[in-house]
Amino acid sequence: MDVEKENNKSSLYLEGMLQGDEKILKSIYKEFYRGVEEFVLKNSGSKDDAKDLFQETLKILFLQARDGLTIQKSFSAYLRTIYTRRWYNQINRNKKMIVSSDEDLNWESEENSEEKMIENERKLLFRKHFSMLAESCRKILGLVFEGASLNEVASKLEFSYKYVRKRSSECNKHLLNQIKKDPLFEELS
Amino acid sequence: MNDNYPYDQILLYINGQLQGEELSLFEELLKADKKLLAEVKLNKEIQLAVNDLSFNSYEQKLESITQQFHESDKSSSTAPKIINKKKWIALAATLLLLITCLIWLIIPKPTSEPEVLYAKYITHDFAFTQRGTENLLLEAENLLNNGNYEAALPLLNAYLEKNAEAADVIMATGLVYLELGDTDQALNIFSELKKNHPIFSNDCNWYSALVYLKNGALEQSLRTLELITPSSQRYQTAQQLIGQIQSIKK
Repeated sequence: MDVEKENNKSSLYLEGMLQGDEKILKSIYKEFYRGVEEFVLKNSGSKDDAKDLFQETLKILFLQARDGLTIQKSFSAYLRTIYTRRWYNQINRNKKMIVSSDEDLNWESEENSEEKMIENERKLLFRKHFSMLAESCRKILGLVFEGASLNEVASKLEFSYKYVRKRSSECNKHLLNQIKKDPLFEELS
Repeated sequence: MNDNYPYDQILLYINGQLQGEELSLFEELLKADKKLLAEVKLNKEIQLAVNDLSFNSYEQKLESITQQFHESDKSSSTAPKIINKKKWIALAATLLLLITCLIWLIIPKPTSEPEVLYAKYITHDFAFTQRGTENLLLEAENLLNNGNYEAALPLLNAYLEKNAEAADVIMATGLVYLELGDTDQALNIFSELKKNHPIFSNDCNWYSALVYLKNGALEQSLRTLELITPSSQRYQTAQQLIGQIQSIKK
């Protein structure tokens, strides 16, 4: 496939992701998932690891696309660079060996600075820990994060104000604690 | 992490809902404490990350497509297939592996993983001391014994708002947090309860030791189990668990 076709395909995929176009997302899955699964299985991972890795990769791509990413060469190669780096970092994290070179990503785009990449990784990390909170915490903090007052939260969830204030404090503390305990947080700080 | 930080005030401050004297005091604290300031900044960043609406919607679509993709994948992989020679060899190898696993399962062996030990020992019944016609507690008790911890928690907290010293209810709240995976909160509750109601010391030590075990902190778990006194009903079980943890450490 020539460069122009590859370029068009990359733009189509990135645009589709930004629009939340289901057809595009499905074709990305169809075209690239098997490669990711094969890679993870060959590198000491499971099928579940492959699912998670592919999802995370597509989330990162969305955030990068929103920040103005343009892929000059092959979408497939760019995707591979993201997931292989993420996977190697993940399996090496316990050994404190981080694949730190981002040069391989920089050749693709000048618009996604390292600072932006770190910001996006932090965003994913925060969201992951938020999603792991107990349901009551997610409900209370979710509303507070949307800007609702504690009185509004109490009335919406049918709790007392005192309970909501106490619980939001506990949940917030727990969330911050879990994030800080994650080895990735230190890497991204 | 500083346990004394006003985490509720951090949220209110970010949302612009802290007022009057509370606001002035908080701002003074912020000026004096750089760590608190960092905590506020981090909290703001988390709030923005969680509250990213276009990303939320993208994530939901991705989740649904992932599910659809893997479901159709599963159904296509269950379709009958012609088995070639290579697959026969793989099948025979799998069978051999299965037989080996079965033999391994039949041979008695000591429990070795902290998580397995935790699962074996974490049992509890919720039965509160009767307090007249406290429907709140009866309802909570039912929910807890049906494993509906999320729903029981607000009832327990509502009860504690009026009866702050009800030690068995505090204990139950600690267990609920443990069940919900909030081990830090569970440990805090057990530690406070031990201080204020020494009669619950052995129970608190028992459950704290289990939390440490679950988190893989074997040394801390052992030290906590050793605090359980011989007069306690839990003493024998604690001694048994001590032996099993020591065998893991070897």
